[in-house]
Amino acid sequence: MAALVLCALYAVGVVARLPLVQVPSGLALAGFVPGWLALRVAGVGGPAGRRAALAVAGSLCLSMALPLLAELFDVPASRGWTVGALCLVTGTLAVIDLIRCRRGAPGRPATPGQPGRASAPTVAAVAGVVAAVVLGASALAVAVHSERRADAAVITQVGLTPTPGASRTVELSLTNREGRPVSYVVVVELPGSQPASDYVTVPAGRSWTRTLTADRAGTVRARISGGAAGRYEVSAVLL
Amino acid sequence: MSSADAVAEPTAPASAPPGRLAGPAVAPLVGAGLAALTVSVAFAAARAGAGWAHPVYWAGQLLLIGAVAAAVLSPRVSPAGRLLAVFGFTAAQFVIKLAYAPLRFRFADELQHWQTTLGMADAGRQFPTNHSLPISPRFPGLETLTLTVMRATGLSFHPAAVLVCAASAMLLTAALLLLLREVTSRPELLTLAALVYLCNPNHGFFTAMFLYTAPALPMLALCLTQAVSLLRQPAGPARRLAAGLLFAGAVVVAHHLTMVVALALLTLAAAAGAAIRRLRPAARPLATLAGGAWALAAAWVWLVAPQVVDYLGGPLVALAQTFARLGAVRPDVVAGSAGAKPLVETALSLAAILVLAGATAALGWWALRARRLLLAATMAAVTAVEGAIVVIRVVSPRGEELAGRAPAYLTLLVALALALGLAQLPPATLAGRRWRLGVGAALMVVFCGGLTAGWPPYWLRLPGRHLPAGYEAAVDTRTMELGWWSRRRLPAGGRFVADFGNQTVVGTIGGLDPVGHAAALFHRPGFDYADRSAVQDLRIRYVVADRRLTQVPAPRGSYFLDPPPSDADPTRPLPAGALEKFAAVEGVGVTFDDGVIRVYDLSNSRYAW
Repeated sequence: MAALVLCALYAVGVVARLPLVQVPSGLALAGFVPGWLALRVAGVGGPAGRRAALAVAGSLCLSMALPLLAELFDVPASRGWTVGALCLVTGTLAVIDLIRCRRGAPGRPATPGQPGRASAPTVAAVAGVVAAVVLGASALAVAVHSERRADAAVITQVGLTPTPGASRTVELSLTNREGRPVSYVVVVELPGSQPASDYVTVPAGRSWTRTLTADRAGTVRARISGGAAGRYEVSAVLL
Repeated sequence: MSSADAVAEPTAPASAPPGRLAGPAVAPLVGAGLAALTVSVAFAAARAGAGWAHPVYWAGQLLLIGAVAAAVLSPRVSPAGRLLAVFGFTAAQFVIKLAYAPLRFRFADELQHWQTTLGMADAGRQFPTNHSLPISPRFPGLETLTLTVMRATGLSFHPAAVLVCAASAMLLTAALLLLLREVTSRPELLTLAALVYLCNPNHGFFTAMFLYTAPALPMLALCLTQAVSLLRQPAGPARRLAAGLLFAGAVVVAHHLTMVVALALLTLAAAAGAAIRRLRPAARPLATLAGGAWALAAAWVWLVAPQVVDYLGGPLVALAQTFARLGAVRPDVVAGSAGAKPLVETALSLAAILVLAGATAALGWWALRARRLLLAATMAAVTAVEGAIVVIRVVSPRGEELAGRAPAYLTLLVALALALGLAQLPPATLAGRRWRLGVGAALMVVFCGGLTAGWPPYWLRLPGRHLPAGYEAAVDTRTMELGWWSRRRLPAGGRFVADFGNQTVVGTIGGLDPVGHAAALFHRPGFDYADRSAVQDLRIRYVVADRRLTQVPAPRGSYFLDPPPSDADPTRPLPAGALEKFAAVEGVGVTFDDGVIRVYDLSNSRYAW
């Protein structure tokens, strides 16, 4: 029953676009629930830890296999196919398990030595686990913060690439990755023509492009001033 | 093992009750968390250029092994506390690996698998083209798993891939414990042997990376668990056979090398079942499992991945050459040993191997004296394999590569052998302060030796400034942005040459086809007809010229995959003219410029005439 509720919850998360619902329920679907249900249906017993490990492994095997199955039947493994197949397998196993439980089959084989209420962790133990998780999360926070600072680069990318299928035509592109709007002076020199200047302001994170067509063979040159490096030069030889 | 000398496991000494999880039981978890934070602070300090980063890094690592080893060896910690400590160790190792490069994958092989995932996501089909690592799409277990997680959760690639790696790392620890549980039920031995495995040089970084082995290793351990279980209790094998074949199938689609190891070990188990009288009841189910695994592997290789025969052929030939030239040490080992890796680190790496080999040899000697011949033979075999790894590292033409991959598999056998052997010793031998101190010190050596022998190399152990051709340190924002620009603007599959860092990114994220053997093209002072021949023969269209190559010497002697020409000085950066010369050649276009990196287009140039 819990698995069916999970499938429903997952559907709500997908339809309502709620990442806080979709991510954990999706992880449970891809990495635990189908394997757990398969073990229950097969009546596999043993300690809970062993069954949990086998459930994760079985679910990962299924997640690995689904796109390969799609390939076998020559179906593009789209998101819909993958998620649909995952839910279908999980739902089918859940229904079989439900029927077995209704018929009186043991949902979980008796496992001597299972922890009972008396073996619940103490408050100090829970606090210790929480402290360990907080410390681990702090380690990651420190790493992300320092990496962002160290790896922050101020870059302008200039490109001059042929336009596919068009004769003597190239595309000049300017990409601003400097984290602020930047004004550039663009000087373009086509074969047999005088250099032409242009002033361009490109917002942060955006690109500016211009298609250039030459009417004769030769070299197209573009010189760009501005940005972090101050000067960029690209060229293309047109035949 | 169902042999007489394996089933008679002495009763464990009374240890802490397995009752409720109390505060002291989680103390090692807190210690592991604190260790991860300490190492992360050391990484942050290294990124900021602080000189105290190295001591803090080692303090954090020693705290990690200290806290966990103390829990595993202490008689006062409950079995649940010991298990928690081992899982905490794995989690802390994973956090440390993630803290090294938290925002993106940087290691070349991770980027290659990223490219395969990108190709699958773009096409919606399996087996896309991967110019950088053509064999990768043929073993797509990791990528299909990541894609399923991406599609099920809606997460983007990097968080989904990190979750897959984290789940795989934890599953490997769980699978390892299940495997060891098949040879001993004593928690102190179970967790000790597991910790020995987790200290292997590959576990901290390689096993946690976005590589084939992430899903393949836990599946291998689970497959072996079924095989060992069948050896112990051959009756009623159907479920275990089904599970073993399922996990063997997962190994086959996930990783070629792990597939070979799995086939070898399953065949060995089946052969042992057939040859040893005491194990004969398990012969049939084991032969079925091994035969099924061989059939799965043969079908996969025949139908999907025939190129793996050539791909793995090279290393196997190198392995054969190793034993044909025993006694001859590779010249680069001698040359590289002076002034390369610090002597202390080399000594630690060697000491770790000696400790493990010594432990299995000592157990073998004890078994021989106790006339437990099967156990003695097992220990002797494991010790011999450990010795062979040292020989391969020193002698083989591809020694570092072969020996570097071995610990992930070999230590699995070592841990299994240790658990099996220690379980046969009288419990009184394994108690007492002297025993705990001795084993604690040995664990420290094995752990530190694993760090010094494993990844990253000593000069890259802490993250920091950009280093041209310096593996992870060569992949920074500028290089990554070039990769994405190339993916958008340049034709997929365009052949190019570049230094190691740019080649890694443009050949993966960029989707272009990297050409090896490019060092000479950069090292020659000007246009040369030999260069023209090379460009035409190798169909090179683009040259990526990174000005940083003219500012910093290559940390590993070469900026490129191939070694520099013999007349080049590896201790100096490239001369400035080495990169500027391309602009002076008639007809060369500059298709990209970001002020530091330029991409030259040779297609209409004198190189191509």
